[in-house]
Amino acid sequence: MAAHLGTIGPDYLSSLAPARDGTQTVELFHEWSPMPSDSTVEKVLDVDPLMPPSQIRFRSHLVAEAARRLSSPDYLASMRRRRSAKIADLVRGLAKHCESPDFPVWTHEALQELRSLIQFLSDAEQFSDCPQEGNSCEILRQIRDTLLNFGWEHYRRGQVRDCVAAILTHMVQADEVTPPDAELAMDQLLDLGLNPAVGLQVSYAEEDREAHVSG
Amino acid sequence: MLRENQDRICTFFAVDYDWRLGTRLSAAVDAVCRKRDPARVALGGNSFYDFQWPDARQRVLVTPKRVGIETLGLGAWLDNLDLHLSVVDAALEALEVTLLNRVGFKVIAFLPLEMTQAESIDLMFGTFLVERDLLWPILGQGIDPLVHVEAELTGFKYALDLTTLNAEQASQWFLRLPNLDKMVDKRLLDQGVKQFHDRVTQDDSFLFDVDLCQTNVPSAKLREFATSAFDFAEMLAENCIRHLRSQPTSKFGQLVDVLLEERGITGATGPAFPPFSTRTPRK
Repeated sequence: MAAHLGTIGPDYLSSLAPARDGTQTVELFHEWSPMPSDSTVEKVLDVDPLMPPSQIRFRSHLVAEAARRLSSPDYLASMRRRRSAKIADLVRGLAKHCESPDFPVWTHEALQELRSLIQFLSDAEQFSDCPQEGNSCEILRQIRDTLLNFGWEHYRRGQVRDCVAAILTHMVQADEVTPPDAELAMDQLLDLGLNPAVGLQVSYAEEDREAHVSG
Repeated sequence: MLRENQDRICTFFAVDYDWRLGTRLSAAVDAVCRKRDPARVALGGNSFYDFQWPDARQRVLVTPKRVGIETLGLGAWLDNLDLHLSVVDAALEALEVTLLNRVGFKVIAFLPLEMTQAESIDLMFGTFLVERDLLWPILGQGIDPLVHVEAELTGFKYALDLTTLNAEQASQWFLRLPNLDKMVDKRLLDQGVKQFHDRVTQDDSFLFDVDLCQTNVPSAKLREFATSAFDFAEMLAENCIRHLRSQPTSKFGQLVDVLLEERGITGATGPAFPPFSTRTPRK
């Protein structure tokens, strides 16, 4: 992200020279923006008392290239593939420690990587014109949730590790992660007795409460 | 990868042979002219003949030790491959050369990646370079890398340059190309050059520059070299881009299978990357 705020273009001095029609133009270039697209706002002020009549034109340009530069769909997909491969390796590597009493400690790195990748993809999407890696985030959240609330104990089983590694391997190989991929991942995790939707339990409880109140 | 972007590629082809006293260079020049009437001829010192076709953006070079061809655009090479090879064959026949010291094929491609230069540089770390965290304490921040590799694979020796270019760098790189003046009429006014330049400077791009060669090649095997060299360059470009994008790269054997399958030759091993599950989603 660009560190400058309200950067003035390199030829700002020349822009102050009066134009032939008596208009002076002042241009400002901003590189910091939550918006993903370029835009320009213009305001023209008349300076009445002057002879001949003069105008000052203020143009404020929003240059979004800096904001966009780490959010191209191809770039995000590449990072998803690369970092998913690392997480898949970490999950497979848990096999060496599955009998260890401090097994939860060994799952920590995978969990941190999952959180970091979810954060990275989610942040990048804020500056994207359209959602790019939403399905990838969904699968990553499912896997993350399976590690929470003592879920790490399940990872002592080889079957669980293989399944999670296979899901991640698909994310490494796929050009695009689709909604059916997310559904399929959810099904496979549920079939193994994992809890891939820790956050959703709250809503179930709310539904029960609402049903109780209305009943 | 290269075929899809053939209007963003320059190609060079050259055969080198031993110079000997009494080389019948005039006969080779005559053979080239008979095969293909040149639009323009330039003569240089040391018996240097430069045949140019500015409209086609092509050039043939004949010297006592080398016959070379240059084209602006891969299409200008591939579409006229028979013609190019017949010209070289005619020259070699006139020179009575049967063994070539070196045969080389070079491609300079400005490939679009659909991402910014900052992003593609970021992807270079961890793929073609070590992780950025390991390099910046030594080299500092703001690294703009260029990777140079010399290697040998499946009978080809090659030198490969990979880097990412923004529009300005691509412009400088393109305008520095040697001999561009000799392929066109007036470099500063030529529409083909301008359009090529506009294409490669439209967005940030990935430079794929490979110079591959074989040594001690019989002149009778020139066609075999020319076709397999292009296939090799195509496979290498595909693998480099896939590797940069962290997509699964194929082994060369698998890529050969794919190429054979495209040409209707059976024996391909099928898809290299099976889907992660054959199950259908639960309703």
